[in-house]
Amino acid sequence: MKKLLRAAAVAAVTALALTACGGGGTATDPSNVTPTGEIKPREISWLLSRPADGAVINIMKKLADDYAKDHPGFALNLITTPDRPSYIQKLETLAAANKLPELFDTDATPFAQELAKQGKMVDADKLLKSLDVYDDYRPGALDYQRFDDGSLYMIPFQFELEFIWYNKALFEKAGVSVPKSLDDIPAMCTALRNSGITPIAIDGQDQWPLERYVAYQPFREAGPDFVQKLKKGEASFTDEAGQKTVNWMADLGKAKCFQEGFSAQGYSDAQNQFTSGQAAMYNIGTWELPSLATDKLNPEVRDDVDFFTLPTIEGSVTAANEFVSPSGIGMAVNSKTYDPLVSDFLKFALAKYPAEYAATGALSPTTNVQTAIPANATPLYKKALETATTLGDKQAMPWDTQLDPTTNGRLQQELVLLVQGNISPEQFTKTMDDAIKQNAPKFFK
Amino acid sequence: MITQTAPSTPRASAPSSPVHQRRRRKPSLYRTLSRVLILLIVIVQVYPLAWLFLTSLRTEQDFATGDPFALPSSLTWENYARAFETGDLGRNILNSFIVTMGANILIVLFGMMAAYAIQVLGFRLSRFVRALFLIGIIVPVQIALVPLFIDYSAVNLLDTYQSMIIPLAGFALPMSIYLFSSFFEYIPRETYEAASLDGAGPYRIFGLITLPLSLNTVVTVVLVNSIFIWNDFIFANTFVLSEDLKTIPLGLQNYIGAMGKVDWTATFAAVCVTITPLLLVFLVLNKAMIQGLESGATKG
Repeated sequence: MKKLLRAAAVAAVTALALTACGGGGTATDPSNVTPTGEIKPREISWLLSRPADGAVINIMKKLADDYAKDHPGFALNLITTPDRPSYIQKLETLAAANKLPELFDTDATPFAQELAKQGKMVDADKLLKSLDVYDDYRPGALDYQRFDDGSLYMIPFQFELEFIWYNKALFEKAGVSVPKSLDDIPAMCTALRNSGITPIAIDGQDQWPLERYVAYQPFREAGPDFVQKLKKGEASFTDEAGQKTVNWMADLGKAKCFQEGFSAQGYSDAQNQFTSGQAAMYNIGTWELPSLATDKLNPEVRDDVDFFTLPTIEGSVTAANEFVSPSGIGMAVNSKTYDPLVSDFLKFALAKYPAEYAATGALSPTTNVQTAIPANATPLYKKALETATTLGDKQAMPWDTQLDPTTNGRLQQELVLLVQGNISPEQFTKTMDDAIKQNAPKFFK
Repeated sequence: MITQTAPSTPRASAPSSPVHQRRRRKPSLYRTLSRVLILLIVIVQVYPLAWLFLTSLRTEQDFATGDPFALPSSLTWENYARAFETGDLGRNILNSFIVTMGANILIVLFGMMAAYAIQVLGFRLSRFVRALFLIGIIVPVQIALVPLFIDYSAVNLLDTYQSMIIPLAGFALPMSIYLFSSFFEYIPRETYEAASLDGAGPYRIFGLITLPLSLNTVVTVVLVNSIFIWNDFIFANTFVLSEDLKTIPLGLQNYIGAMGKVDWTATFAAVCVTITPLLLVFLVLNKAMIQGLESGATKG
């Protein structure tokens, strides 16, 4: 029994250590971005959560090797955990043990904001300016990484745009056209269903795709501030914008917009429904350009596929060129281990990265390079890239990066129930407002 | 006859070995029925494995567009090529082996010794010590993560095989001690008395009598723990940082791409490769276990 009590005590102390200020006085000032002294090459580590064989990792590996040629003894150790929940568990353990590596990935979560408050991350705003690359970055790519107070502690390595891809032949068959307003979509679904076509293919298993939809109406109705207020309990689902989105989601469900059993279908299932010509619409970002806008796409639908950007609504406060444009998980720089070497390597890597990344056919988070269009691309590839040049100032933030984790988990479950018609919009509104009331104050202290 | 108090162990599905027949006999109804029943059990056990293997031979397109349970329209080894390209499978399997073996050696060695001391030698408070070990069963793994992490980094154990082996063995000990001490109850006292009269000390008795008699329990303990250790994710994910030390569950993560897109066919191929050694070990151990069950101390 004693042992048990002791274990419980250890757990309690740990929990306290996790929530309390880390207290471990940081050796360096997070705003000091130009450390002076000699560059002493050593091995540095980057804890990341990106695909093991992806462009970011491959390019950074190559750049680190190039840097090591002039700096013998330097090595960049890339530690990747692609699965996000496992990654977060790892990151939080390392942070609690005060063992964060030189570089680490994080979204602009409240947990990351806590680390920034404790002075554990280098101020990226100042860092990028001191390296003279700040102005090269797309404002949208940096804004996506900012905390609510506008401070910037993470550096983006990607830039993506989310479109609604559609199949022209199926639209024609059902006699529908590209929607002018979000409010047209339920009626379109009904028309498509009547022609025996699945209106929208969605990956219900991963939950974030359905959560995108709930963000659309408020973004058009009340602008990007709505979710900022909602997550803190300053706005609620009973507000006009909130009710609009709740009812719209219920309508999407009533009109049977998503494929049968969508909640159990995964990423590949949804994409294949669209690429095999069974579904008329598919909402996904430019990271899928290699599968949707090249000759990899199924020849049967290749000439019929096109995309449109997020429709507006009547009286919309945001413009048609403003939609979801995330810059992915960002990289934070540990202020405790920041020294002339890390600074010099970042200077070297960030200057060379955009050109290398753009050469892979992806959109760079900077505007100083031209994305190479692959040889096997369809005309859509170019059209998608050009959309990036005409973006507006505001962007729709995905809600899963905004809400506290408990509310977010609840929202994902309730959305499925709402769309499937298991609960009424009123029940949904009450449940979600209660969840925010209960969880937000603890989280956004 | 020794009765086993061990929980029924999960059995690897073994293909049915042909029944040894010395001479043809007229099949009776009972025999036919039991054959059919065994055949059914084998099908239920083997089907998931067969499905796994078949899926690993399907093309990506075929798996995604068709019915996942349909027979493949064409066979390809390309998934295996991709699996080996993306991940470092050989390395992952080797690491899982090292961790599983290391932890099992510790578990068997310490578990047996502790159980022997508690159950056979006996000392004051031995029941209390046993209860202390049993309390360990209810301690959740998660609470140990952060303290262990901090301690490991203080003694430079982070990112080593030991960092996975030690906690895995520690958390498996309570159950193993329980299994061993329950088994030791069944070794007749007379055996020990006879050995003592012949002049054997406690260590000699342990080495020459207890150890050989409890081989079947050792196999049971190893079997139960290996499954947990082989599939351990949480310790490996927390304490391992470098690619070179990643075990299979961590290695399988490499097939997750952007935004949660999983390369399923490559994953199936990788799983096929990684379960093969485990299956072989289980088939061998299963035989040993049955033999162990059949031999006892005092046959009567």
